[in-house]
Amino acid sequence: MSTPIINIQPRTSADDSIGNLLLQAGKIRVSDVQSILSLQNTEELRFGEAAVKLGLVTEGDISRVLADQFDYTYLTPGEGGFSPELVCAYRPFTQPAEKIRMLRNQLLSRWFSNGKKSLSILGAGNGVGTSYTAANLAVAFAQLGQRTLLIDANLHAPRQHQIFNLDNRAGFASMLAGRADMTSIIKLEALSSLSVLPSGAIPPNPAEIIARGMKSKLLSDLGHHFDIILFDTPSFNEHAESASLAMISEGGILVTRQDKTKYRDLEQIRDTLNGTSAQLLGTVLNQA
Amino acid sequence: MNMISFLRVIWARKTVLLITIALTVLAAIAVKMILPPQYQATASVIVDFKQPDNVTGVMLSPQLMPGYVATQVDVLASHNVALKVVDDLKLTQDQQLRQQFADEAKGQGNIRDWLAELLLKDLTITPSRESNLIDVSYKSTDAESAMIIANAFVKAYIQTNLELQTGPATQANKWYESQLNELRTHLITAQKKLSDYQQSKGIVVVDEKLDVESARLANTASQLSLAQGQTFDSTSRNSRSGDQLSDVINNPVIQSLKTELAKGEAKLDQLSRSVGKNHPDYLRAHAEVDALRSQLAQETRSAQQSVNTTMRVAQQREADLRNSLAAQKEKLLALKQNRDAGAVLVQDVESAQKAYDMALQRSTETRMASQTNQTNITLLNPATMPTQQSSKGMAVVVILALFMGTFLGLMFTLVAEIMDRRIRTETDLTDILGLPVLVTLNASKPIKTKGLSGLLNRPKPMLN
Repeated sequence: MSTPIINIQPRTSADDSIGNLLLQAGKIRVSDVQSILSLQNTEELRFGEAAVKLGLVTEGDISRVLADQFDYTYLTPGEGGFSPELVCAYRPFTQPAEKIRMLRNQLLSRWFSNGKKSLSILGAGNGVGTSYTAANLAVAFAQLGQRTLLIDANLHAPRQHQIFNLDNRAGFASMLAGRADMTSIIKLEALSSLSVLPSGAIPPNPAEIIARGMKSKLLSDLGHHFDIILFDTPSFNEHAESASLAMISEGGILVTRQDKTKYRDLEQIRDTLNGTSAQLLGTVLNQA
Repeated sequence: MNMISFLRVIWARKTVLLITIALTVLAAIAVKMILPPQYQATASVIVDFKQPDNVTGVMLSPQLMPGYVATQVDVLASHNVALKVVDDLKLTQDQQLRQQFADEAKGQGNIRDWLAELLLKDLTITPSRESNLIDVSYKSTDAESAMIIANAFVKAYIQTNLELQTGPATQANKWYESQLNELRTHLITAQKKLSDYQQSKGIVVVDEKLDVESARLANTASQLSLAQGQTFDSTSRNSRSGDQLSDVINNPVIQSLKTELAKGEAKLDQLSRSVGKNHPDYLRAHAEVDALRSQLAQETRSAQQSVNTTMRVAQQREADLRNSLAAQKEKLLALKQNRDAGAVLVQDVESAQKAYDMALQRSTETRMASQTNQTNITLLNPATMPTQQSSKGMAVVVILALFMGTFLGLMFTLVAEIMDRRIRTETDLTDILGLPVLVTLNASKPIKTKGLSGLLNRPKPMLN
């Protein structure tokens, strides 16, 4: 492995002890600190445990504060107004989120550490979980501190603007058509270092729009601003542009769904991408 | 498709499986409800092929034994037997059946044949694996008719078996009978020829006659040799001169005459010396001597003559014997010729007799076989009135249907899967694409977190 270009810079604060953080978050008052400290000393507990024991804070508050302490952004339920599908943002300590993180690490070591920046999330059919994977993967990369851009290239049934609760008047389609520029990329406030480019108004001819407007120049321009660019694509077997996107981004992972994805479709995908510049890194098996 | 994939396929397509099972079970239950109850009556017969045939005494050869029972089973289930049952039970007169025939066959074919086939449908024949028992079962919706028909089948079968035995025997018997007449004619002709011949030759029993004649020839020959001996003897005796003949010498009369003569001559001689020749004594003595001499000569002659006569007689006899021997020889030769000609005729008679006897024996055997009413089939248990339904109980039907349905369902599931293969496991993915499965996403389950204790396991925060 060559030296990673990823530069994770945790925020260093002068005082990021848990007590301070709890104080800053307004979970405890200064008057409480003394009683917590005395309990901590008599029972030899940690500050957080003592605070919980006294009933001043909940365990949820503690883990939230700890996440801040480790510069790990995640959201409490309802915060940011995104779809609950974003497990990495809302329920980072559950297994689905853990799986996404595993996928992220695999991709880091297999793809992005080699100087690649863009990746297509391909789906072997409708409803296999392409958008879910793309959105959560984007969040996971952002949580790593990478400047991440998620482009909704599904111009048939776009979903990212719903997931991230965004305005979809301008976006990818208008940018390709030349009616919009980088300004339609939306930087999310709640999740730092994550930006989303929604699909924009749905055009009648997505395949032609993408074939015409998707130039390598556009990608390299975006590459100046972002470390990681993810494409959410329409169903591979139904729409021609997925293959083009995979070739432009040079790499892709294929999301399949257990008991739904057909052998025939997979063989077709394999044969379509065989010998092109698109490299299939691997597959994701969705068992949900 | 490994085991895990297989189980996943079944799980994924469980609806197909469950629907199939449900339908099968429902269908089975419906059929069970709709169908009338069935009764089965069973009769069993023993086929005893290890016994010798009751007419000929021939045993069935061991090579034929395995096929024997199988043949009997086929006979039992034959159209012929079924026809007998139809006729026996007078099924053709049953109005309901006639109506059914009219509906189903539409006037095609014969009602007897149709009925026979109908009966055979519900007939089950089970040969026992180890013994030579055969079970004849008949299923019907009516208990009594099941019993009647099962018994009728056994009866018809035994009758058919008998026919099968006696039929060939009758055929053979007919043939033998026709042969017998011919052979009898042959025999009579041969015998007539022989007796005609014997009559014409005046021979009663050729061989005996021959023996007598040969004995006679031998006898004549021995007599001839005796006669020859005598002839030779008398001839040799006769070969000397008259008084030298031993017969003459040994004759006592001659000997006494000679003694007397010698005495007379001696006396005469004495007298000649004492008295003269004219002495009366001398003359007397002389006359005596003369008389003696003439007597002696006469005796000698007669003795000689007797010897001659004897010789002649012997010669005569020998000649006679020779003639009779020659005649006998000729007779014998003629007899021998006749006998040789006769022997051929006798042979003819004998061979005709032999052929006739054999044919007669076989004809008797076959006649007996054709008239036998004994078979080697014995009815062991006649069918009785079945009291319980033979059809399986509902529980059994449901269980069987479950098995069947499961099997069918699995078949359908597999067929459906083969028609439309889906990704079931990671292995399937790697098999097709040859790519690693980076991750498997699954439904939300909270991690068994050591949560706080894990995360809090860190140096105490510095608060001041």
